[in-house]
Amino acid sequence: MVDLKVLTQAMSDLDEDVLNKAIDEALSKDDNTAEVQEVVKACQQGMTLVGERYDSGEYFIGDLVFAGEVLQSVMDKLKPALSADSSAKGGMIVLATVFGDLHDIGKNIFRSMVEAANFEVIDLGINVPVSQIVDKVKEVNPDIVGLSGVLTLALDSMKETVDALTEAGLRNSVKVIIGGVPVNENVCKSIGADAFSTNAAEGVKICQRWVG
Amino acid sequence: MMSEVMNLYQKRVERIYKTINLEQPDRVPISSALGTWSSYYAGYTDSESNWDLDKCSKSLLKVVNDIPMDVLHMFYARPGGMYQALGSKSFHYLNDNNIVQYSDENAEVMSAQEYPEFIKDPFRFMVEKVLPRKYSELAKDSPAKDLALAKGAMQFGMYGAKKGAAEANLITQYGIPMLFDGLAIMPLDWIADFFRGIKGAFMDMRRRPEELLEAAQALTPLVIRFGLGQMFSTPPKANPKIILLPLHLPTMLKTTDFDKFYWPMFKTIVEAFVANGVIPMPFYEGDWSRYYDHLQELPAKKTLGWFEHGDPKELKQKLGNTMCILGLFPLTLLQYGTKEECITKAKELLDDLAPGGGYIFSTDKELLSAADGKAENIIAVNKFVMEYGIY
Amino acid sequence: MEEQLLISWSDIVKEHPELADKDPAMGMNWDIGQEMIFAYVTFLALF
Repeated sequence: MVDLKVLTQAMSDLDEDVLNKAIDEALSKDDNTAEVQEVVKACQQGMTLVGERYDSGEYFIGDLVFAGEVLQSVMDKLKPALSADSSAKGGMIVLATVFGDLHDIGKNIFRSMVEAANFEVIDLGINVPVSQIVDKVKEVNPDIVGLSGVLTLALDSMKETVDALTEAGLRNSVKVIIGGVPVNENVCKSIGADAFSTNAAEGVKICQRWVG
Repeated sequence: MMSEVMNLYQKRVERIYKTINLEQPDRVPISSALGTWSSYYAGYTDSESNWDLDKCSKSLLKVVNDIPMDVLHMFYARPGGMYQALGSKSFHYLNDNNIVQYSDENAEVMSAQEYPEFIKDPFRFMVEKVLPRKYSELAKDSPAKDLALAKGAMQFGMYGAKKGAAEANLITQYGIPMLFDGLAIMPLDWIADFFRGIKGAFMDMRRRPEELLEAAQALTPLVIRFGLGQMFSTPPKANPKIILLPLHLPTMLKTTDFDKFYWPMFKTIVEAFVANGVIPMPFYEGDWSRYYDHLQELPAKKTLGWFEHGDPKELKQKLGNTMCILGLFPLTLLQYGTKEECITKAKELLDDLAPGGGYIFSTDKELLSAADGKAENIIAVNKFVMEYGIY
Repeated sequence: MEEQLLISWSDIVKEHPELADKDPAMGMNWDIGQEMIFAYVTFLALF
């Protein structure tokens, strides 16, 4: 049986070797679904610790990007061993870098962390037109819409997106969170979002409070 | 007998260089980081100015006519004709109102397996491998690719000549000089932004640290040669030339990674420029307060420091004796604030940073999109600084 | 041994000492053409 505490610590320490060894061990056994589920949970807990270490100023963006990649490759390895309904989703988020902006590193870090916290994420990518976000929200009826941007012009696109959701009569059925370099409280108010964050880990906590 | 315009020009140059030398001039100089914003101000789109150098020139002439300042950062138009001649894959003209921006999507042109080849001879690797991957014309066989490279060089030369003429015109018509004569990118940023992608570089830092380190070391002399080449390919000036060093990764790294992969090369490069009579001006993007102790090691009175974020009191106290400081004034205030709020902020910054000299007033970053600042706020703030900044 | 691309000027001058001075027509160092091409190629590998 894999030591789950060691696994969580390894994820938190971003120790790929220990992680891979443990995962290979879990996958090598037959009838391993239950154990694999525990491994996934342990990794998700480790990812939460990564967020805390970023909050405390020990980890930086470079570490978060690496953590996201590590978690992604772990999940890719483990997914085939999980049964279809084993992962009860904690909520659905439609995520996008808004129109005019090509940056996605922050968005991708947020995506890894929020998936680790059991959310289902529909990532529309970068430079996403307002209409595409609105259409997707109509189609999948998510709990949350996450808008990301680094450039100051992204703020205009965020406002246009929120206005479009209101016009389409969808604004009240979702929570909107904005993230990225230029966001702050004033900006959040004028855009009409429900919350803002410049810190992915904090953004995850906000989303958890909304669906919890 | 000097004309009034040339008199203004001389005064501005003297004001700037006195400040760089950490002395107190007659008043706080104002450096305007007006980039592609100027095109929108003049009624053009960004893509018009990137391709049409005359429009960029006209935009800057309008800007210096309407907005009080001492110096402009740079002639921002890029050599679009050169990129077209070579079949560039890097630039994104997404829509009329967009600015040229970095995208991690196409950034990885070098695979991790290619580190040894890169380290052995980075210039050869760039010529043989990187260029054909970035430019479709250079991926063709000889003689098509040879002619394309030559055509691009012609475009590059013509661009340089036009740029030089436009800059000279700003001086003769308005007495406004440019602050920078060129720019250079640091080895780790070069590898991350243009060879491996940022994501790739962060992975390499953990999975291939020794190769990444050797690659950054191998690039260091090329960065120096690239910077000095720009400085010496135009006639010498009465005062030292200034080179912009936009820094990208440092605030995303933990300090141990910064100390290993970034700082030694950065310091070597800064010292090499200084030794050759060139003044480096790093753009310290993000919050550099973690690294102020490092920056104290840079040669005193020989660099400028353009800061995006930071506590002005702390900056002045820790770095006021090392470098000429500029920056910190937030663009978001110029766009979303009132005139009064903008002036209040400018007063705060001057009160903390101006005493004793060694401070140039500037925004926290370059104005790129139309929504990066309201013209009336910019004018009001600059007018205020010209009066309040008198020593 | 592979030929070096854009070798250092000091190595060229060893073979051709008559090039140590400035180019009389241009008034600039002979190696300025080389440095401009180096800057151009390097610039292409950036951005």
